[in-house]
Order: sequence, then C-alpha cells, then structure tokens
Amino acid sequence: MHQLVEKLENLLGRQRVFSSRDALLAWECDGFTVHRSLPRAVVLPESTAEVQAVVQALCSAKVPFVPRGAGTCLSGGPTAAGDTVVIDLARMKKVLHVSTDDLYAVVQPGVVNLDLTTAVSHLGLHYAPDPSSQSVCTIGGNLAENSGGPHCFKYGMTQDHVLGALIVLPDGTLARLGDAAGPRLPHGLDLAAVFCGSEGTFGIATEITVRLCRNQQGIRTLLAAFATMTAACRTVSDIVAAGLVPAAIEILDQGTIRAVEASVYRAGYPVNAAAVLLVELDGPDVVLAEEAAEVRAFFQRHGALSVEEATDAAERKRLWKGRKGAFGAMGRLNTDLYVLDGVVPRTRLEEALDGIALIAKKHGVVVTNVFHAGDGNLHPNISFDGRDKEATARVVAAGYEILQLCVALGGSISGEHGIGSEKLDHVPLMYGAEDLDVMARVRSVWNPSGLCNPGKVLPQRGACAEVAKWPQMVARVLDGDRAKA
Amino acid sequence: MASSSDPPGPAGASPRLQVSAYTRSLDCVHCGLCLPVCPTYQVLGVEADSPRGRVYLMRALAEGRVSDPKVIRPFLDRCLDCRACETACPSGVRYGEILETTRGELESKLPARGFSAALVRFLLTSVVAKQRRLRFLFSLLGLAESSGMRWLATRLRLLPVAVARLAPPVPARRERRALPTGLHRPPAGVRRRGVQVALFTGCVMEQMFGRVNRATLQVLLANGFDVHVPAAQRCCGALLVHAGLPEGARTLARANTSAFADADVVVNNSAGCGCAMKDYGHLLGDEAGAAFARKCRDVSEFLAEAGLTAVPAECRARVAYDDPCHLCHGQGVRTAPRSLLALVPGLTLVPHHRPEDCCGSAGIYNLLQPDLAGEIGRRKAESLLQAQVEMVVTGNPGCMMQIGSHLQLLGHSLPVRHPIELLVPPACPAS
Amino acid sequence: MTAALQPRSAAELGDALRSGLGQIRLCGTGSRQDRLPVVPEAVTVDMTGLDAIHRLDAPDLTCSVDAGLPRQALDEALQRVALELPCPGLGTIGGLFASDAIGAATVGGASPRTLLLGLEAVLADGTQWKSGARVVKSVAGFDVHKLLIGSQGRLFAATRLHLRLRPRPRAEAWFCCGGLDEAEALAKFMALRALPVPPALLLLCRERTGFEVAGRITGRASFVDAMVRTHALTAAAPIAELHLEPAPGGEVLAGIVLPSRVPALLAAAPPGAAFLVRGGGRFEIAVGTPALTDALLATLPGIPAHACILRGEPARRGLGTALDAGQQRLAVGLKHALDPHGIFV
Repeated sequence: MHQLVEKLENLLGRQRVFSSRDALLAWECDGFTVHRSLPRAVVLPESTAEVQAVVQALCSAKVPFVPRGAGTCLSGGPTAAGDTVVIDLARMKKVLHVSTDDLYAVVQPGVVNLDLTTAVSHLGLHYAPDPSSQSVCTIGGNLAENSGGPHCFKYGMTQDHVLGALIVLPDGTLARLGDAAGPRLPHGLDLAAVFCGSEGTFGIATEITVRLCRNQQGIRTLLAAFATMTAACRTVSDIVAAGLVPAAIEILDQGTIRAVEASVYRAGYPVNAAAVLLVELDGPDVVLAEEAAEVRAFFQRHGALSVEEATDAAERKRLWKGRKGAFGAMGRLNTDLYVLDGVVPRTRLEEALDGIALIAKKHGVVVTNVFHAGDGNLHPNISFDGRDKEATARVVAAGYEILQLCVALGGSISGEHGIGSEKLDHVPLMYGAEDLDVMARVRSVWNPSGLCNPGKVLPQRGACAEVAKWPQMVARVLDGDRAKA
Repeated sequence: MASSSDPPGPAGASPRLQVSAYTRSLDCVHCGLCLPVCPTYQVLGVEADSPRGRVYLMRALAEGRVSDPKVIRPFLDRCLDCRACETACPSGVRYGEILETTRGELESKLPARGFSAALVRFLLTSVVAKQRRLRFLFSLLGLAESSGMRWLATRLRLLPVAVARLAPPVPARRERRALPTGLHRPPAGVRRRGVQVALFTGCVMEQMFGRVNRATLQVLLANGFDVHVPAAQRCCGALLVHAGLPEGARTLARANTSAFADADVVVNNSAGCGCAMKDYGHLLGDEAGAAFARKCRDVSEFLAEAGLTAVPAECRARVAYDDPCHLCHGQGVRTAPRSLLALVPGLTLVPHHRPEDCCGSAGIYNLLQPDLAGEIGRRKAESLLQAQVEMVVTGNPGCMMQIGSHLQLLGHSLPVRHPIELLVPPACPAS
Repeated sequence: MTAALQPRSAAELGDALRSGLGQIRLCGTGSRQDRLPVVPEAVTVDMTGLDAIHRLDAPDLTCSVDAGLPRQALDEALQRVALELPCPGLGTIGGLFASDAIGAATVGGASPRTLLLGLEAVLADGTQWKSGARVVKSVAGFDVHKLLIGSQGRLFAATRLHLRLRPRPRAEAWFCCGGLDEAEALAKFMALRALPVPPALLLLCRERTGFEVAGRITGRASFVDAMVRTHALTAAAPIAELHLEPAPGGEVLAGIVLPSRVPALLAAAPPGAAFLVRGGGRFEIAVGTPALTDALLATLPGIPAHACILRGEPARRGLGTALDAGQQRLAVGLKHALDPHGIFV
C-alpha cells in the first residue's frame, strides 16, 4: 500500500495524490449517496501519458481503479468499490481543438459539459447533450454514462454526439476509436458506440471528439400549466402524433413545482397546477411561428390553465431554471434524496404515473416526478431521511417496485443515469443469464483483468438468484456504512 | 480494505460539530452544482477542496467519522469563504455558517500550531481587534515604507516574496487619518432629507483607503443625509470569525451594537464588514445582534434605494464592475452598484467574464494561502483585461488591493476604485 | 457456396447452429454479398425467412422487426402511419445495419447507432440473447447491440431489431443539380451542409457527364419551399440507395473524410474516376485498376481520410488504410469472445 502510494507520488507529485483516510472521505460517494465506500487513494493525472502511467502502475500492482469526473453520477458509477484507486480527471479540462468547418471539438475528459458550449458559443455553435447537471458534469463522465438530458428527444443522447475517443485501456495500452470524420471505416465496428455508456468499466477516455451543433435560428419556449397530469400527458401525445419534433418536452408534477418554487431556482411556475409542461421548439424562424401556434392549440384543447412563452434569452432561462434545478431543489424537502430513473414507452406514461402513486402510498414515501415526457423517461424523486434506516428501506423498496413497473410496461430500468452500483439488483428485471453472459464476454475483451471499475453494471455471477432477497442488498450497504460510522 | 475499516479515532479527539451546523450540513444532497463556482475547485480540481467535499468532510467530522481532524483542516483552511457556493446551491445549504462554526471548533480544540499561526492569531486578536494598535501598526508600516525598509526587507528576503509583491504600499499618513467622529451635516445649498445615517468606517478601509471613507461621507452629505460617525465603533470582527476566533469577534460585535444603538441605519462601504455585521444575529445569538443586523446597509444598497439627488462628476471611461463575494453572494447585492454607476455621466459599464468569481483576496487569505490566492487573482485580472476596460470598480478594500496588485503583475496599472468614489459630485466641498 | 438454409424463427436458427453447420455466411437479399470475401465451404443461411413486423408502436415512434424483413416492406408499413426510418439503403433491415448501407455520418439524417435501440440475436453456439431495449432511451447494461453495426454478420446473427422511427416530414423535396463544374459543385455542397438545418440527405457525385449535387430536403412545407427557392434546387426523383459500380477490372474504394477536406480528396482521386461523397463525409471512389487503388490508399492518410476496398477482387476486399492497432486488437478480441470457433464468416 505504502509502496504503491509512493510510486503514484513519483509519477504525479505529492500534490496530486491523496491517500490519507480522512481526506479520502470526500470521495466516498457521488450523487447516489446511499452507496458510500472509501477509495484506497485518489490521483489526479493531467495528461494521457500520466493516465497511462498510473493505469500501468496499478495494473502491475493488481490494484483496481475507477475513473471519475465531477462525481455527479446518480448511480454510484464512479464510487470506489473496495480497495479501488480513484483516477480523478477533474484536472484534465482543456478544449484541445475546435473545428468550425467540420463541426467537432476534441476535449479532455474533465471539460465541463457547459464549458464546452460556452467555449464555442461565439462561433454560433453548441454541444447538444445537456444533462441537468451540465454546469458541473464532465464530457468524460457523459461519455462513460451515455448521459441524456432534456434535449434528447430531438438531438439524441451523448452517444449520438461522440465521434471518437482515445482510450487508455485497462491494461494501460491505447486504442483510438473513431475520429472526427466518423466513428468507423466501412468494414470497421462502431466501437466508440459500444464504449459509450460502459460506465467506466471499458477503460478511460483521455481525448474525446464530439460533434458540435450549429445554433438554430430561433428558439421558442412554451410553458403550460394543467389542472391534471392526464391533460399534460395527453397534450404531449398530441404534439408527437402531429409529427412535431420539439427540442424538448418536459413535465414537472405538483410536488416538484412546489419544491422548485421554494428554492433559489424559483422560476415563477404556478404552484397550484397539477403539472407544468415545458415545450421547447427550435429551428428556422419561418417554421417556428407555425409550430408554436400548433403547440398552443394543443395546450388549449387540453384546457391549459395558463400558457407562457419566452420571448428572449432571459425569459427562456427563467422558464428552464426550475427544471434544471429541480434535483437540487428537492434537497430542501428532507435530508436525503433518491433520484430514480426509469423509462416507459411514452404512450404508457399515465399508467406509469398512476402506478408510481400507488407504490408510493403503499410504502408511505413521498414521491415527486419530473420527467422527459417526450422520451418517456421518468425521474421519480423520493426525499427521505437517510439516518432513519427503516425509512430508507421503504424508499429503496419503493424504488425497486417503480422500476419493476417500468419494465413491465415495456420500458427500461435506466434512461440516462446508468446501472452503476445502484441498480445491480435491478438488472435481472431486464436481462436473463444469457444476455448478461454476452455482456460479460464483451467486457472481458476490454477489461480482461477486471481491474477497471469492478463491481459495476453487471451483477456478480449467481446474483440473479438473490433477486428475491432484495431490497436487503442496499440495506446491507447501509448497515456497512453505519458499522463504519 | 484496511483504510475504511479502520475504527475512527476516539470521539474525544475529534471535535463534534454544533448540532445546528450539523443539521445544516444535512441539507446537502451532494448534487455538485457548487463545484464550478468554487474558486479553489476551479484551480485545484480536488473534491476535498470543493464546497461539496468540504461540507461532506465537516459532516463526517460531526458524525465522528474523522480520525484525525488535522488531515482535513488544510482543505477547510483553503476555503476563501466567498459564498459563491451558497448562491449556486439549490438546496439552500448555509455553507458559511457550517464552515465558520467548524473552524471555530477546530481552532478552539485543536489550535493551529507554528509560528505563523500564532502570529496570525496575535495579529487578529491583539492588533486588528484593537483599533489603536492597528493604527500604530500601520504607522510603523508607513514609516517602513517611506524609509525604504520594505525595499530592503524584500531584498534581504525578510519578507516573503509573495507578500512583498502583493501587499500594496501603505498610503501616506495624511491618507490614513481617520474620519472626524460625531455628527456631520450637509453643506449649505444642499437640500436636506431629514434622514440621519450612521457610518461604519472599518479598520482596513480606514487605513488603506481613507479616500473611500471620505468619499462616502461626501456623497452621503451631498445627497442630503445627516451622517453620524460614532467614536465608539470597532472592527467588525469578520477576520476573526473567518479565522475561527468567534469569541474575539463577539466582543467586537457587542461593542458595535452598543455604539450604533441609537442609529436607524448603519451604512458601511466594505462588503466584508457589511456581510459580517449582517450576520451578527447568528454570531451573537441574541435579539440585539439581530436588530443591529437589520439596520446594516451597504452604501450602494442604501443609495440605490434612496435615490441620488446630486449628479456625480463626469467620468469618461470603460469600466468593469467586479462583484465582491461578500456583497453578491454574502448580501445578495448585485444590481445596486451597477445601477448607481449607470448614473455617472460618460461612464460605460463593460461586462466581463464571471464577475461574481472571487478575486482571491478574501480577508487575509492572500497572506495565508499566497500561491492559491495568486492563481485566483491572476485569473480575475485576466478576465478583466480581456474586457479591455480602463478602470475597475469594486466595493471591498481587500478586493481593491488584490485586483490592483494582480493587474500590476500582468503589467497593467489600471485604476481600481470603490463605486462610491465615482458618485462624488463635481466640486464637492470638502467635508 | 453450399446449399442455403432458411430458418423461420430465432429458435429454428438456434437449433440449426447448435447442430453444427460448420462455417456460416449470413445472407439477406444478397444485395451486398459482393462486398464480402468469398468462403466456398461456408453454408449460406438465408435470413429472409424471418420477415415479420413484430411490433409497430406508432405513437411511441418505435418498432420491432425481424432481421430478414425487406426494407421496402417496412417502408410501406411505416408510410401508413406517417412514420419513417430516416436513413437510405435497401435490402433487409438486418443487412442494412450489419453491412453498412447507411452513411456513417450523414448530415441531417440519423446514424445507425441512433436508430438501433436494441436487438435479439443468436450466438454461433446457438445461444439466444438480447441487448438494449425497445424504448427510445435506455442505458441499462452494455450496448452490445451496437456491435451489429458494420459487423457484416460475423459476430452473431441478429434475429430481431428494435428501431427508432421519426415522424414522416410534412413535406419533402428531392433535388438534383446536375451539369456543374467542380468548383460550382463543391461550393453548393459546402453551402448546403453548412446550413443550420442541412438537407436530410446530401450527395456530391462526379460522373462522366460532370458533377451533380443531390439530396432531400424535409420539414414543413414553408421551410422546404423556402429552401428550394433560396438555393435554386432542381426537383428530382427520390434516391433509394446510391452506390458506385466498379468498372471491369476496377475497384470501389469506400471511406470517410472530413467534409472540409473533400476538395483535397477529389484532387487525390484519379482524374475522371466516378466519385460520390455524402454530406457527412462518407465517400466512394470507383478506381480503374488495383494499382491506382494502392496509390490512392497511400495518399489518403495525408488528407486525412480512411478507406478500404469495398468491391473488387474477393482477395482484396477489405484492404485499406491502417486501422488503429488498439482498435484492431479489440475487434479481434470481440470476434474471439463472441464467436470463438470462427463460425460466422
């Protein structure tokens, strides 16, 4: 242990290696605070060569490691399991190259999502994927998690914007997957797509080539309040059925509206509405006026209580402020927050919301919903007091049932947060042993030693049989945590 | 897993956080929205040097999970206490309160050792807190300046290079003279408003920027206010609170609440002091403190609300206004100074990148953490230079010094002014 | 090739594979077989027996179809519900994704990664498995299904694909501006691809008669009209799939280039060679002789561009500019992990 730290210090200098137990507490968890685990050490490399050197050192010492960006993951992806060293990429935050002709940028993994857009906005460009944490989260983390965001409905997820990456593979060698011109040759595989969303288990991307999008001529943001959630959902169905492709379609329920309005992210949403629907249109001006009129007509048809339209950037920012800050604002309701992430076919949203309400009632927990309605991507938020073990167990149980419901409706256990450590127990809801075996085979090609972010994404072999014991698993995590404390 | 299964140190060795601050730390949901606005995280990229990381460490300390508080102390010490994280926090975490409480407890139970820590403690409790001693110190420094001792000390490396480069020269004695105490009335010809305000003069402002205090008095008088400068006022205590010495700060706070007991409005021109004084309710934990806090106004806040009646002198310049942390994040005052500057004939306000980022001054931070403060200051100066302005305006003495020094280090000696200096009407009779 | 086998279901395919058929060549309509190496001893498995539309969820903009479903059959079904699969290409749906008829980086259109939401497949040992989901968004598990793209059916046999669909645009206009000289054609191509809303499909071709720029504008009627007017676009018939034919004894080179480097690529191509590039930079060049191909391949890295031989003598198919060594190693590893006995050829 001591020797390893010394070796890492020789590689990076003492300032960029942390190994004292108390300091490491800061890296104990990400946005999924239920799972806490102390890393063995934290290192902060600044270049591909340094990442490579660190990985090689850890490999030869047979010490597991996990890459980390800004630690905003909501599924425990970068949380160090067991004896793992955290390779924190926060200092690798250079935008290496921007091409205005071919519309791409090459960035280091620690570049903050929003900083990239800021860096190219004077060129009339932006980076399209915009997770709610975009002011904090890094492109490297986005790549690892295949992050989404409100604008996925039209623009797609991170995977649709990653052209290539330079990867330090878990054995310390390099692989260049795709490049600015495109992800692959006619006879090549799309390995960049497979790497995307591998949650830090396939290697560490140290240079990422992403597509940049031209800013659209105009943007219209409309916000309607509805007296019932059903009306809001049906409005969305009508908008999509009409063939409109808004840049974003978001719904916040009453609980979320009230939490937001009580926080610094107050956006002036009507607090008495059962749901607010945010629709953003972008495109050429000639089209926008027509589309906005259509959307307004749908609002009207479903009896919108009020309709607001942002006419300038400041207004637009205000309408979005509450949505973007919803997660943090929920923190005001109690000491802890469990942000769930599940997907249902968009046409089953109403059913899903009704089901979630029943589950919440059954377990006596408070669930509020904010979701990407266009994609059917739900984010039920459960606020609770993590110090109350019994309450925590109920929260975890409710969360499990909600995801069970999503799968039963033909959906998925995660739309954008990933599996990480949070949903290991939920994976068997979607995949059988054969499916998981194929995934494990693919992982073993990238990560044969298993040293890269162990214990994530795929449940341990034989764990499927343990499903019945759930949710004791997470309760065990809590027990472990309390025991340490 | 040797590290995490280590039993935490005996509870006695690890100071537990006060219950109120601990409860506050539970507001944090670990979302990380504070990371990009934190000056130290921006420079270092270290989680433990971010607000989220520090809150987490302080919470762990309170829960008795920290075995050796000395390990986490440097991370807390590196915090500028700029409160940018409070502005960014959607969950309303009162970071400043948690930090100051923790620093106080760490300082009382595990006082920092070593000569420099002792020196700082001595300077804060025995010099800064005692106005006459502070004045004496500054006259010594002024004497040293004029006699060339500073030059000699720097050459002989008696003075740390960083300090020598950053500390601006102590102004001449005439500049450092205190404002006459007592009641001042508007000059003849000025329409009186029949409103009396009390003026808080501060200690650093008085010694380093006497001109700002004089300008404040001039502007208030020219705008028709009666101004009372209580003789019994003391240092606000902010530096002591930041250094984890709340007891000393409380003594000062009590002195100020009684010195200003008769005032309806207490106007100050130093964002750091204003922020500290608006927090007396929390510091003293009594109604007297809270009542005093309610009376405090930054001079820009006060004037923007009351409205100017005297047109400021013309100033043809491209000007950047940089928000002092303790004004924008600490007191939520952002538009008042800008709206006042907009009234200055000829002045063009030019936006610059991230005006609400800390400049690295942060009380005596630039003396305690010279490297980090230097890097933060350099970034601030660069963003100001990028905006191609001719003058920088900011409302806190520490920021004025830090920004001025860093502009100079980059080879630009732009004037750095307090907003109030630009509000002085032309040919204003000397008070 | 030996006698064909035509399974009617995934289970039937699994059974056949378990029975040990030896080496297997997966085949759809056969439209792209001439791009693959020839393996005489391989058994051809004809996938067109798996041709059902399993689920078409129009309001949700997704569908699940069998891999052997002809593209045209899907298009007809989608037309009835005002949807479309927003990419060009013919043959079977499985072949479309496995054999790369879809441009890698079309401008305006969607890439295969975006459209392929999940799949069901059979490994060489007969194991049936699935990956991804039917919904438009899912990050559960690894995206193994994306390995289908460009795999040429050599990793596993996809039996069912879950696809993302788009509403059929309210209006569309196909255009073809022909008879241009090189400078005019490049200028038009660059101008169109630089628009905030570029054409959904954009092609620049050099043929014997000169240059032409063709494509498809989609959107609302007002927008499509405005585009056609502003850019003086000449109406033309829709293009289902456009590939170059090799001249006798010649080869077709396919690759990718940064769109801004198209002029350099054009300059490097043999004079007069048929040339086709999409708005996203995917190109084909019909080269007269293998020697000319080798010369061109040698100059491509300097442009920079990557390419390989798409059609030509079987032995030379797939030769091209060097792949990154790490990527190559991963590709070999994946083949070994999923098809250790080299059944799919």
